[in-house]
Amino acid sequence: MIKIENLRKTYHSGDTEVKALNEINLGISRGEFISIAGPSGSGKTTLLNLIGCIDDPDSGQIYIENRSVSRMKKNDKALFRRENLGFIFQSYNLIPVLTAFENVAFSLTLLGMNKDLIKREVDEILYEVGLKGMENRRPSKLSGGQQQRVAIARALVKKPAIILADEPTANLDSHTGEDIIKLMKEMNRKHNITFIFSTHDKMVMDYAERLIMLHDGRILKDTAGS
Amino acid sequence: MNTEKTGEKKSARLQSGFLFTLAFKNLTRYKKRTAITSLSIAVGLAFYIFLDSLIMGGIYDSEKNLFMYETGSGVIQKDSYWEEKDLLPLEYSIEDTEKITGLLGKLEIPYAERTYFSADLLVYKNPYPEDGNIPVKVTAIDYDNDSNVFDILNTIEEGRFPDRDEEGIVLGSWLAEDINAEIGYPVTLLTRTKSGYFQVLDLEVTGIINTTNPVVNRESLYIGRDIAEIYLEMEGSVTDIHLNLNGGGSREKKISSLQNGLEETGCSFHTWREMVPDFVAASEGDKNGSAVMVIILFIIVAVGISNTMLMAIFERVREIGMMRALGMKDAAVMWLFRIEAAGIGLIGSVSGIVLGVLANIPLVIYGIDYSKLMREGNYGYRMIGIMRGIWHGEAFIAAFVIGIAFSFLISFLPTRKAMKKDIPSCIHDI
Repeated sequence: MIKIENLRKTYHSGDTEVKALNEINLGISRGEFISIAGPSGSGKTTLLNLIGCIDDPDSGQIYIENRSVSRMKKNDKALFRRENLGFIFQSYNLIPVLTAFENVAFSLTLLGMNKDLIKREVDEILYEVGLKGMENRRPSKLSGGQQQRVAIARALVKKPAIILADEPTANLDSHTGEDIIKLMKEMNRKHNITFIFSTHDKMVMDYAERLIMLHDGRILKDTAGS
Repeated sequence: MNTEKTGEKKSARLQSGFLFTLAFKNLTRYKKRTAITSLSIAVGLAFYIFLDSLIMGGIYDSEKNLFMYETGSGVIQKDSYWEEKDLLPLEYSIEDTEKITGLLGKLEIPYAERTYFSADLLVYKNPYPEDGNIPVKVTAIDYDNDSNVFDILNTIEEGRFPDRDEEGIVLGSWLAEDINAEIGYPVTLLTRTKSGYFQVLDLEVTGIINTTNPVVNRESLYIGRDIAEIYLEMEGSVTDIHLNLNGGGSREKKISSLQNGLEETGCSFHTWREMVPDFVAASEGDKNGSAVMVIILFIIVAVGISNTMLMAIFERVREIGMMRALGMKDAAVMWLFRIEAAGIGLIGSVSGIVLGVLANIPLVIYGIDYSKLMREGNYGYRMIGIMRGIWHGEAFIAAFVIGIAFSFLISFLPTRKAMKKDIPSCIHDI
């Protein structure tokens, strides 16, 4: 489903050159629940950004569903992300003036879905993530865990092929973080959506079916098939 | 391919609805900032409406007063006279008046024949407080046709206009006040005849007129045409034939026929605007001055809008990053902020029009008292005392459109700036 070949990405900070990713080769199948781990600066976020088509590699190729995404044009990438990818962010990134329902509906609005269908899909997904009855609450009236559930619902509602989550539990207490990772796992099983998430948290890593350890931009360990 | 395009169109339509909803909600998100920026636009637009009303009111009154007392719709003069009109040269007067008045009769254009001449007005101690003389411009009017164009015969405040063969004179009220003249007082006019000989006219003040035109009140003296003919050797000639083109029919057609008819007479028609360059210069100057003030105001508003939009963008960098990551095109994100800016402009425009109407009501009803200023000197405008505003619909429409369009256009720069950051930097706000 995802094939990564010889991926390289370098950042420049003044005269200093930082190799964020160096010769990454990776294959990911549909429905996998993958944790990318590693110390700060190891390249976790960069790898997620590149798979998520929100950043461009210096060299190498990324294929998603047999399509080369690394050299797509800006607008084509936007359309590709809209239809195929879901994102969950560390700090939720919900739109504060919209209700939970409207935040989730945002993804479907971008797809041009009609209002009745949006209502049905959003109600269903909010029920699944345990937010029934909170549809009309704005983010400021929700706890951190509830906000992250809205973000998960927003990513899930369009039934993407892949959901990318950059440290989704980092802003939550351990109990809530565990609830969130359990929810993600449940959705992964139920909808057969590939989840790739980065984390520092050992407890969160333990839920992953496959662990990819990065260090200095290289894959140190990949538990695929073990 | 076609299905893809249709889907894209549908998506764009739904997105635009969403963008408007989100933009509206975002305006309520920063209530204070929206209110302050809208208020600055509103004050700017209200000031524009007020200033425009004042200037247009002044111009409207002046044009009315010019028409009624000084110019009519325009004038026919000898070409040689027009070239030296400031000297009021009687030798270049229109001699064959019947040919021209016949043409005007055929074209059904009402006219008034007048002769203007310069003179020294002499007054002597007793009954006046002291001896003195001032240069004046005297108008000899034809009682038979002056009312076809002018309203001067209806402006008598005291006394009356002299009879045809009476050696009498009518003074403007401010002039009479300045020289302490009263009905029955004698005045002497020292002038030259059409042939260039000195002539002295001893006349009696028979009336004092009070018009709504300050130039007439301050500077004008009127005698009958018959007296002027005798003393100035005019022999049926006049210097000016004023026209009234406000009747039925096309004004342009009338002027065109008139100009054709005037060929080979050595005379030409001149519009009222050509006759009063002082007023045209003053009104144009004021219009330009107000335009400069409005530009300055709009620069202030532009800074306000830019600042507001920049603050909104910088505060919502993560949100922008999220929307872009989820597949919203950069152009759509930019539209969101432009709609927000236009929304601020809309609130500002509506408030500005309300403020403008409120400020304009007393200006239209009561006006501003300029009587002292107008009494002291000639500022080009022909209105007395109260300068009133008018309801100028175009200014309201312009204010409304400018407020929205200007805010919308100004937001282009900050929104473009917002898209320069790449998505990962936006999401992590670095």
